[in-house]
Amino acid sequence: MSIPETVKTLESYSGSSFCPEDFTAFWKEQNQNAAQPRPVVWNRVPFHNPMADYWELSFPATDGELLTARFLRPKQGTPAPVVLMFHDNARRTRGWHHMTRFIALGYAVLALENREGCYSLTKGWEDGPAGLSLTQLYTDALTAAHLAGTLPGVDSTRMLAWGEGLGGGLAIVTAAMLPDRVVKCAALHPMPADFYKVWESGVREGLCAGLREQFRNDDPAHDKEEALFRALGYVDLCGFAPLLRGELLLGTGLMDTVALPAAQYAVYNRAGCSKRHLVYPNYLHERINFFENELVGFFRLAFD
Amino acid sequence: MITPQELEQLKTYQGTNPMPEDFDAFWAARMEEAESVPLDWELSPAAVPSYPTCDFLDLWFTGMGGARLYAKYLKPRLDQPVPLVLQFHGYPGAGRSWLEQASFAGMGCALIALDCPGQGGLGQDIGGYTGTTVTGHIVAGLDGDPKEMYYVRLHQNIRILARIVRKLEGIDLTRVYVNGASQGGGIGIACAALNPDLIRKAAILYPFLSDYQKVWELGADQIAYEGIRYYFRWFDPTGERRTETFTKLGYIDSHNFAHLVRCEVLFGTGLSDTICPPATQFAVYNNLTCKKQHHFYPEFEHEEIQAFDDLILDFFGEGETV
Repeated sequence: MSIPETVKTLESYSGSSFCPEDFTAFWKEQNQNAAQPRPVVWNRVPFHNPMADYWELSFPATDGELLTARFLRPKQGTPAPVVLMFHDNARRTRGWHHMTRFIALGYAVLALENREGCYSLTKGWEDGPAGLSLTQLYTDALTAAHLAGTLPGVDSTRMLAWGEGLGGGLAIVTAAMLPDRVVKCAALHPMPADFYKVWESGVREGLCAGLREQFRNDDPAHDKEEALFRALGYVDLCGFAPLLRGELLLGTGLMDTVALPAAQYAVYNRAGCSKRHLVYPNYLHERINFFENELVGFFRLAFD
Repeated sequence: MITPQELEQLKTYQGTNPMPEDFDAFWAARMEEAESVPLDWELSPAAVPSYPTCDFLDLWFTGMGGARLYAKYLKPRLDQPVPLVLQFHGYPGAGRSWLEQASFAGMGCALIALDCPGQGGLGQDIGGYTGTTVTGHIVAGLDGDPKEMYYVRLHQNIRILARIVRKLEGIDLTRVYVNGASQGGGIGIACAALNPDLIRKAAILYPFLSDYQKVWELGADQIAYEGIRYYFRWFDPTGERRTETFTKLGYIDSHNFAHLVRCEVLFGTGLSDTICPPATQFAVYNNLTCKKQHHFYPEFEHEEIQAFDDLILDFFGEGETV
């Protein structure tokens, strides 16, 4: 299929994976747990920046595990909008200098460090949706988002979510579950979504790297295949997309071999909010400067 | 990756590529030429919107030979004069996204990010180089008068840009800094060397454009340095003009510029770098006679090194107040 034919097909593709009936109820419960007040330990990082203050925060997750996040905030002015920034699975939280870009816009940043060992798609899948590693990671992201709204100097009514790859997925999760607070969500090549399509399409990179081993080791004849993909429906971005209420900016590189473009289209097409999709035919799963330029305009809020 | 013994040897390595005898005089004359070009520049709003905290602007100016050149200009909206960072990009390419450039505005610094002409950005490359271009701007103009080589013109254009910096409103001219990685690092060294009265600090990560003869001897004349290999393969296959060629390249060699740098330099090297061999980077650093610090990252190649970027926060910000 040519690139224009592929795009035309994908523009009406809304996914081929299973969405559990109790998806919303399940995540409502996780979100309530994540919203509980929790103690925060602040460790100042003493950079000599006259424009911003920097901290490493640590706080307990819903399962008691200690999470860490980077927090930076403009020194002066009224409470600042905050960017909830999430990172891809192949990297750690961005550097301090990198994130200082949002200080220039007048925004604070809270960037969660994904916990170790959270990237297995299949670990715990037979224990119900709460047992999935990704369920805990998503709940960690929600915990960080709720926490951001309680931090001093932050305007909890104007939160922005942003991430690339898995980080884009976490941005969508938080925007979907905190629709009154996260007013804009930007995701570049978000994942994971539409798991069956991804598997069927032969994607074996990134988060999907373990699926083949799962089948080879535990289910060689694929007797439990349907059950596995039904379980993964609880952590499929396609389920979160209809819950989005703020604005969505989504970017897709059509040559992406990590986050299947079809799955990204499925997420986008299921979103019923105000939205815009920027498609880059000759880009992979990589930084796209042109998308970052769009982000400057997209994240510009109405200022009093 | 290099061994501890190799690292010790690198710490005293001074470089292999020859320096033309008239290097300093050559560049003094080139800077005089750039000084004589009438300033012609304009600022206009960029395609991205400005914020209440920061302006995003396009800077167009006329460079050597009448070329129209482009740079991004970001300026935080503050009441008092602000420092300014001259930012140079890697090879090839253009100034990266507005969002990426905003990190310096987040430090209270204005920033100018020049698009090196003919490398994928908006600036105009008016060409006219004598001899081949093959691939790689290193060899553009190599067969003609050295003063017409691509990077000679570029450094002259940067002098013109430096003159414009002095005309900008709201800039603290006692705090003008340089930042660049790879080609941006090489250009940054030259910029600091050729504009010593303006540049106060320079952050340089794995500089390109250095010690060309060593690159060739190591067989590392590939990827960014591939122009050297093509040039010799196609135009001097037996190396009869090798000394002449490397001597001419010596005019645009970062390690030859090092002795002219007077400002403080923060310098970073990924010791597993295969694009810009560590030896060629040490050649630059070891010839710096200014205040300097060298940070090594053994497991890093020619790639983003966030630990180094984070050092810039303090390097440019220390002792400064807004």
